[in-house]
Amino acid sequence: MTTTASPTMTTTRSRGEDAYAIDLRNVHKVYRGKVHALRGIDMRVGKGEVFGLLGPNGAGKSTLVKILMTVIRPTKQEGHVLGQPVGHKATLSKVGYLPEHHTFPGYLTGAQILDFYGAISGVERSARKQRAPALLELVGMRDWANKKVKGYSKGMRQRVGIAQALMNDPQLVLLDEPTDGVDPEGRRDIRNLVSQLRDEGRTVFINSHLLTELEAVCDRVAILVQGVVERQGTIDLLTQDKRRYEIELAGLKEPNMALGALRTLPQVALDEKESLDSASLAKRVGATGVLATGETIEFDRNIIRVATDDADVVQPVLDVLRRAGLTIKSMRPLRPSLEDLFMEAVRDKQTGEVLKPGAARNPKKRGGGA
Amino acid sequence: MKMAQTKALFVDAYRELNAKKMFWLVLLLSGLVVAAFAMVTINDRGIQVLFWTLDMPVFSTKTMSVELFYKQLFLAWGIGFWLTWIAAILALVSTSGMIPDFVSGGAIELTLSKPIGRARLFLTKYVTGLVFVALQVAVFSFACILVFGLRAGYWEPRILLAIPIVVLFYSYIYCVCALVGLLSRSALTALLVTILFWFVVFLFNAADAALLQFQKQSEAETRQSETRIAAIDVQIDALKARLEKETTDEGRDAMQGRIDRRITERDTEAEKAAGSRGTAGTISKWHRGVYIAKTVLPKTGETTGLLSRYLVSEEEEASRAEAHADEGSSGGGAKVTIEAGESDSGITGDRTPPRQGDTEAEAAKALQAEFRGRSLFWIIGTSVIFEFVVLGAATLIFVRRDF
Repeated sequence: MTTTASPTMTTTRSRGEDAYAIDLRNVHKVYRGKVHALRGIDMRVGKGEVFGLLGPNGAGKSTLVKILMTVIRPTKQEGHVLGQPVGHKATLSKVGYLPEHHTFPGYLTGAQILDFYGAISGVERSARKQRAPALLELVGMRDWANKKVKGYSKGMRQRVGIAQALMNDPQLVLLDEPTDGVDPEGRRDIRNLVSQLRDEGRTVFINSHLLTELEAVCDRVAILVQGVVERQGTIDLLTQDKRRYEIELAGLKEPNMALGALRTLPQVALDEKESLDSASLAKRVGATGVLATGETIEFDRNIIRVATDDADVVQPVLDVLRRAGLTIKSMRPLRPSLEDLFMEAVRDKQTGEVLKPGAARNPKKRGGGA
Repeated sequence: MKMAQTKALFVDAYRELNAKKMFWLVLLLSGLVVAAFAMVTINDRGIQVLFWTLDMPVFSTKTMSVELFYKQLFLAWGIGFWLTWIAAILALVSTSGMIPDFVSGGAIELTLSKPIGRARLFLTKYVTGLVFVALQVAVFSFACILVFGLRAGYWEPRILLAIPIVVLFYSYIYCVCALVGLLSRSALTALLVTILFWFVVFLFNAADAALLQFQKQSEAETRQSETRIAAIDVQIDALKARLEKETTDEGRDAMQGRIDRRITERDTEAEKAAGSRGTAGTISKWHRGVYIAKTVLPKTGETTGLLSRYLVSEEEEASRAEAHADEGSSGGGAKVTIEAGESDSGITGDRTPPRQGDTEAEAAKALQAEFRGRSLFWIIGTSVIFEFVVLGAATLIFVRRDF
């Protein structure tokens, strides 16, 4: 574990202390001297925001969360949590944590779990007595408070786990796969709870592979791939240059007609591609190309996509389609989903192949640092 | 905050054991042992069980006080049999899972993420295991005091010494259990390896006692032979003096013959002395090895044996040893080498030859003295050092491990 001593770093940090709940720099973890799980993580989580960490299996997400919670010791790091170096035990009294795949001892009841973990989090007895019933009520587990955990369903355990993470009135809450094994209603409850926590001014750090869920609640996200932060920022910012317009044609009988119309666009180059339709097993006509203004255009059956967020660029395309007598059903601006972002981040830029988690074991293949 | 954390961990340990029902089972069995004690006493004819008397003159008020009987009952059965074997094994079965369940259960990440130091967390968890035993011994000891007091008016608060002594004894083996449980994350492995370790310690204890017994026996035999040689030398000198005074040739020849026989006897005895001295030397070497090994290992037997040191006084011990010696000598005395038929009663220094039984009694006494003479540091100090090393290693592993 290394900590910086330079005065410039200290001033940065003291400024950072106010702004960041989590400020990680150069976090490395090498397991047993072989597996390089984290290779220089740089990540900042602002106070009061909901931050989503995503990445494929084996990317090092859980390792990172566990390092923050002192469950795993980092090989090297210069990070801070709530202004204190990572690993500072006393700070953890201000942090709530829901681990992934946790199982509470079956002999405890929901109320006893909250009391026990509250006590070792340093919560006074009177505060525990007050908070436990309120939190069980909050997660909808009041009726189960005095029943043993061994009779709980997965979703119930998760709810109690979340209540447990809030026992110490934390400033920062880390939820590792909070919706794991939870039914849709429960997921909605958890989403609402996360929003509520943000409204109360707490910082929430969510690690999840359910992208739509993160998209709904997160202010900012980081995508972790092979032990390196591939992207981080607000969803808006990350998707800015990936917005596009989608034109949908109605009742297209002859795809070649649309293709012909598109070819009349000035200085356009279209590469045709054929694929098999999974339903009719008939040939599907499609094409990709570049417009004169430099935007990518894509044609697939009755959908045309233009990679731009400027409506003016799309007008000539509409013109040629209209001129050819085709009916335009709709035209709408689209923002890529988190899933699109994610899929792009986890693909090798050269080969387009999805990066395997095992590749993280070979640090030479990919450069360190984000 | 620290107190609240420690208290929470203790309450959790209690809930865990309570869920296993073992705590109450062991306590129930302890109750049965105490109830058995309450049924037994001695009267002038022998052992009295409830209202029936088993005629046994050896165990009656004629040979020992009721107090001594209860003391021996408590030491031999309460401590020697129940607490240090059966209850200890039951305690191991109950507590061997505590550390493995703690580190491999799904809640370890959560527990480690709390503002509590890992070393403190691990050691507190270890101590909760010992508290299980402490509670059991405490209840058992108090019940015994009550039974002995009410049954025979024998109120002995020193029985409470059993609590620290038995807990100490248990902590020697439980630290091994904690280390193995941490490494293997399996309660069964922890239990089996601990019992194996305990067995090895037991073997060393047995070897120590047996070798020491042989060594003392050989030493006693050597001394016996040396005494005889000295006696024969005196006899030879006396016979030589008589030879000088002998005037007739016949008389001289006879006297010379007696002297020659004595010299042969002396040679045989010297050979024997050399033999037993050699045996004692060899055994002593072996014993030294066992003793060194035992110095490193925890002294389970000696630690619980301390209780009899404190409960039974030296005089009581001595009278017991004497009784043992009487028993020994009555059975011995078959091997008499000096021709007793030949009267040398007139000769100065010609003593009754010592018998085999006496060497046994002497060896037993020496053995007792040796065991009683072992210092408290050697018994407890080195054992505690062993425990510190094992527990220190376990704590270090726990502190450095990634979960």
